[in-house]
Amino acid sequence: LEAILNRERFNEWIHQIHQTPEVEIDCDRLQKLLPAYVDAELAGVLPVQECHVKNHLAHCPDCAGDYVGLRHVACLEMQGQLPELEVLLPVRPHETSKNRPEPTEGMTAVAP
Amino acid sequence: MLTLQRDDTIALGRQSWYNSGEMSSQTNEDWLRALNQPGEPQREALEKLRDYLFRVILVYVRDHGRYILELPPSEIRQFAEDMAQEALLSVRANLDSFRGESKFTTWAYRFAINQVASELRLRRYTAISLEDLIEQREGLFAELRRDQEALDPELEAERRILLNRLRRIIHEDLTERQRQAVIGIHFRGYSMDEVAELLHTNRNSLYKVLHDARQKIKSRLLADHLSEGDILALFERNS
Repeated sequence: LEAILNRERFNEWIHQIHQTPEVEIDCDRLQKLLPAYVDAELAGVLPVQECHVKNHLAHCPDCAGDYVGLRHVACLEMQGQLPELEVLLPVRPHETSKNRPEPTEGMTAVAP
Repeated sequence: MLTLQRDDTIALGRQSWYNSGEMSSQTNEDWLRALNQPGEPQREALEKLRDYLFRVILVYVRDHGRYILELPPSEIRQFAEDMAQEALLSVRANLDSFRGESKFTTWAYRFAINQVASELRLRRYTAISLEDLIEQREGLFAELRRDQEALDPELEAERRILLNRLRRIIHEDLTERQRQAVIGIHFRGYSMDEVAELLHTNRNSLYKVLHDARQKIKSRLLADHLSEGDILALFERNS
């Protein structure tokens, strides 16, 4: 495995070190705050605990990824654009109706 | 000293703007009433919620799961169904903790995103071990030094002194666990979930380890009068 601490990541790491506050929220707390934070952002309202949330997201790549994912789907839903299953589960050209699996009970059938 | 803020020290402001009906025709109260009412209403609400979670997971997989997208469609569906089922179980197990500070669906989607994102991160690397969380023969800063070879011998010497100082802090001041976490996350670029699994812990505990490591490195650098600006400036000069 190659070391990947290039200049960009080094600068980010040094920045994170120097920006480390005495008090931070942990991942469990961040996860609890995230839904209200995302909804407030999308509604243009000042989110609760904004400073703590932003600081944690700057230091935790996994929680930052969760934030981006949650914000995206919440935004889609707010706009009434959360895709239907037919859009999300397209059948690939090589998959014929013969070998296509039966839809699971309770799920919308895959569009041909 | 770990000084992470915990649940009981943060006062949460209650917000009700999200429930105005603009964002969803089904209010939080509608969801809670149905989910807590045994019988047909509960069954319908669970089915509807499962469908939403399934779609949310597929959106995430579509955008971030290129490893999963290489699978046949039936396996992608199975993967998403499994994730949705796990997320639904988490939602039900945590239903009592929903305090109405967000839309109910956003609150529920958090479990789905967390579930699928963690799973994808853990699948990304398949062959790393604890050996990858220690300094390799080429040194911790090999890539940076290749990037930043200075023409000026004095500048090169200054950089070498700084990097040696950082290396000493990592090796002499951090605990073994802190060192493994710093190398895994910052030097190797692994995910938190990945390193947490390797160290037989969880993301939350690993975050605390990293927080303590950052605090320790910061205090050592400041004791040496090495500010962020000083360090970054040293690597901005090219000759």
